[in-house]
Amino acid sequence: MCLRIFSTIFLYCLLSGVVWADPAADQTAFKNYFYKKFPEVPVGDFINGVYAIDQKRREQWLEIEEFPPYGIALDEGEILFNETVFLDGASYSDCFVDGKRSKKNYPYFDVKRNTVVTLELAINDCRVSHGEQPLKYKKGDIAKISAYLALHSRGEIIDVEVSGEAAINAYEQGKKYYYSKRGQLNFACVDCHVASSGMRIRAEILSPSLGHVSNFPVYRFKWGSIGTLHRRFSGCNSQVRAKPLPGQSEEYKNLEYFLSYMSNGLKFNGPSTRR
Amino acid sequence: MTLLSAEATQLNFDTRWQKAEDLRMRAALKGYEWRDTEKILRRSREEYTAGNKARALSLLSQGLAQSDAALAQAAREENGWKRRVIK
Repeated sequence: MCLRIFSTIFLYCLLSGVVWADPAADQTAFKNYFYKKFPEVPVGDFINGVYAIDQKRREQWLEIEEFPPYGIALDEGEILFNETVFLDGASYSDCFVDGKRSKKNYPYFDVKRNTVVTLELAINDCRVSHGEQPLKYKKGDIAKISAYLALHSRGEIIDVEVSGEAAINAYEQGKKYYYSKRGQLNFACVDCHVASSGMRIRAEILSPSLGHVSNFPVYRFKWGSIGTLHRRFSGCNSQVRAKPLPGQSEEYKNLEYFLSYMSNGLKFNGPSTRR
Repeated sequence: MTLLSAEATQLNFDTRWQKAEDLRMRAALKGYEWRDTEKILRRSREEYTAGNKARALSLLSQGLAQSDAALAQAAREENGWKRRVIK
C-alpha cells in the first residue's frame, strides 16, 4: 500500500516537472565538471577566469596588474566610503561595521525581505536609510565603493549559505536563469561558460564559470572603466540579443546567488582587470 | 474611396502593430524579451507616420516574428533548461 502511494507521488512529481532542489549536489557536479575539463588548473586558480587556462593572456594580465587600471577607481572608492557624510551626519561606516565590510557576507538571502541582498544593494540600502539617493547599479561610484570593499576582502573564502525554503527558491530561480536559453541567438550562460569554456569566440577565449564571481568589480578594457557583476550580466544578455535587465533586478540577484554558491570555497580576488 | 482605403490600411497597421506589441509585452513578462524588438516596433511606427509604408510593414513583420519567437522560446525553456543542468 505504502509503495503504491509512494509510486503515485513519485510519478506525479515526475510528470509535473517537480525538481528536487539539492544545491550541495549541484555544486559538486558543477565543480567536478571544470576539474575534469581543466585538470591542469589548480583548483584555487579558477578565480582568475580565462587567465587560469591561457598562459600568454595570464602573463599579460599579471603585468597589467602591476599598475592596475582600476587603481584610480580604488582610490576614489576609498574616499567615497570613508569621507562621504550623509544628510543625517552618518556615513557608510555606520552601516558596514566590522565584518559587514567584507564581501564574504554577500550575497545572502534576507528572509524578512524575501530577497537576495548583494553588496551593491547593501551600499544603496545604507544610502537610502540615511536619506540619500541610491546610486546607479552598474558603474560609477557604486562600482568604486564595491571595489574598495572587494580589495579588503581579497583572500577571504566565498561561503554562501542556501538554506530554508525561500532561499532555495531564489537559488533555483538563479539556476533556471543560468541554464535557460534566451535572446535572438538562443544562448544560455551555460552554453558559453561551461560547454564552450576554453574555446575561442573570435579573438577571445571563453572563461569557465567556476570562480566568475570572485573578481568583481572589474575594470574591462572594453568598458574603459570599472563595472559591477550585474553590468557584466547585462553585457552577456545583450551579446546574445536578449533584453538586458536593470542592475539588482530579482533575476540578476538570484543569478549572482546561484553563481556565488557554485564558487563556494574559492577565494575573493577582486577587483581585477578583464579584456 | 481613397480615403476609405487609407483608413482601412491605417486600421490594419494599427491592429497588427498592437498585436506585435502585446506579444512583445508577454515575452517581457516571462523574462524572454529579445534585445531589439522594442526598437524595431518603435521604428516601424515612426516609418508609418512618416509615410514610408513599405518600410514600416517590413519592420512590423520583423517585430511580430521576433515577439512570436521569443514567446515560443519562453515556452520551450519552461522545462527545457533542466536538460542542460550539469549532473
